[in-house]
Amino acid sequence: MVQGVTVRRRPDRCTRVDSHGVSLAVWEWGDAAAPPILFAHGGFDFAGTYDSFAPLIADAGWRVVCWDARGHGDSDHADLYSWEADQRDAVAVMDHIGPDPIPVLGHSKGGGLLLNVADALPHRVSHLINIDGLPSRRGWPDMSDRDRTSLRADAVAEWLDHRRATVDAIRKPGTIDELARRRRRMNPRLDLDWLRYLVPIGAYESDDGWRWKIDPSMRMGGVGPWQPEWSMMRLPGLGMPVLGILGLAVEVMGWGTLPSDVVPNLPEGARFVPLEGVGHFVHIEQPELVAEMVLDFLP
Amino acid sequence: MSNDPHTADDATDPNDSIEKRRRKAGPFVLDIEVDPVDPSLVRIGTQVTGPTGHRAPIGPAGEPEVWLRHNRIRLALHRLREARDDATRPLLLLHGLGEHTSQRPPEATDAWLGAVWGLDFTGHGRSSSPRGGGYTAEILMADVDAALAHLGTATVLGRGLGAYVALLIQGARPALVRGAVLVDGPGIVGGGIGPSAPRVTVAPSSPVTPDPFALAELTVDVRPPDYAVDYLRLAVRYSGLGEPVTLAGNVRPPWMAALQGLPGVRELPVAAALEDYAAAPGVALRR
Repeated sequence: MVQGVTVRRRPDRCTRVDSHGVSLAVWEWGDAAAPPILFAHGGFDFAGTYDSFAPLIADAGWRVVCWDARGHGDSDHADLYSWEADQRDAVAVMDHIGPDPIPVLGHSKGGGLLLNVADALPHRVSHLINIDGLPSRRGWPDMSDRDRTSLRADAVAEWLDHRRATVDAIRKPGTIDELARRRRRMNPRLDLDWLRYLVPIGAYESDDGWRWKIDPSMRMGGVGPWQPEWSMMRLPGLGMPVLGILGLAVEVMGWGTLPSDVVPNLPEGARFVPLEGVGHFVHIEQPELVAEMVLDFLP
Repeated sequence: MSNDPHTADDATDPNDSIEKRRRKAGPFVLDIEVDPVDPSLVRIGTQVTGPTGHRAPIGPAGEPEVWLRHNRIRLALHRLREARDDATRPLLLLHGLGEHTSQRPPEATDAWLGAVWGLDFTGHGRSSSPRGGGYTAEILMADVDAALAHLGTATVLGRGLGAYVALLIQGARPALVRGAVLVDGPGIVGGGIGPSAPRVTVAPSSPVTPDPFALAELTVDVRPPDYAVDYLRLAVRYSGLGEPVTLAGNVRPPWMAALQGLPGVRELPVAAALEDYAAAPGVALRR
């Protein structure tokens, strides 16, 4: 059952952090003197998508810090994008917060990203919270070799065609309602009113309408050797307390990961909460429930 | 025979006349003279060739013939040699990690009658560098695709990292790339076959190329053998070439060893491989 958003609050502060020449927009909810927790959003989202969830954590006495990933929201459109670069940006924001270990929370791709950062720099992460960000290899297990070759041929050629076309690419304009409805194709379980709320935050207005701010050179999918289990293999070795929350309702932006994919990989003492009837955007569908779990988990 | 343009034997034999050396070297050498102080030295442009015929390192190619755009990056595409036969497709040279297009193509390409071009990858040579890194081998593959958009079809000769990229683009653009020749060079190994120890890579900023981020990130890019084989299969299936990939170097990192012996792959010296690729319909080769 989709409970939906009850609270919406823009961040209390915004600053810019330089990550090796890329300027990142860093947003904060809550008392600047409160203990910090770092949030990372998912791919094609932006910090403002935490407007319904972050205030619940901030109001419980935390300084919630979340950056717009490079190319997303109000951060610079970068020249290149990669998993390595996103990790580096995460560490630049951590350096901005301070040298002490802090709790981190990531959704979707942001969850996978902070999982890697926690594995690489365990001295910087005191607690790890992962919200539907544990990829697994679900999908076409019985596809033949020949079909896989065909699929890759199309995927690679389309990706290269896209790279050729990005030089002067610009996103399609529309009204607030049109952008919200377009986004709903990727967020089918989310309330249209919430998606309309996000448009003036994640989009900019020109004479001919609104456009999402995200870099037009970015697209869903890509080519490369990365395999989802490469993220999952970072999980068992983590030494800090871990809370994993999984939405079990399968939808377009999710991984379709099952509890049986995760449980064998949980480090000792980890908490793991699979939620029936909840989709990929767990914290937007169930902000109070997730906030309660997170606050109970945090020191 | 060496495949390294920095060390390859020169076309010049000190016993040859200057005119003969000029003919051997081809029409692309603009300036050749015997050093007036040390007659054992022969100058070819900025190169110095000693009595052994061993070339000293030569400098980077100058102002490129063509500037390409790959998204926000400006890529330098150098024409190193004019076509001696307009019917012959171009040969595109891809340098190794941390290198740049050299002024002069390696000797093994001398018989190629089409134009010879060299591409400076993102963050290398005269091409621009991104802010804050983000390099992948696939981005460099798209660099090559930008060059193919300008050149049309081409045969590709890649060194080191450029050899890996040559394999990728041969599979990804099987109709445009007419044979990929892979030779030794910097960056040929990559970052292993699977995820390595966790790390967050940082590098200092630099106003000049090579971009330190390119060196840092492209030495650890993961190259699973099955991923390399996927590109070979695409090349075999869609290029129409019997053996679209030639291994012409000595080193066999795991991604390349996985190709060895598979259909579509052969091992030949560079010159022989180019002769074969050039012999495809519509291509002439100097005998």
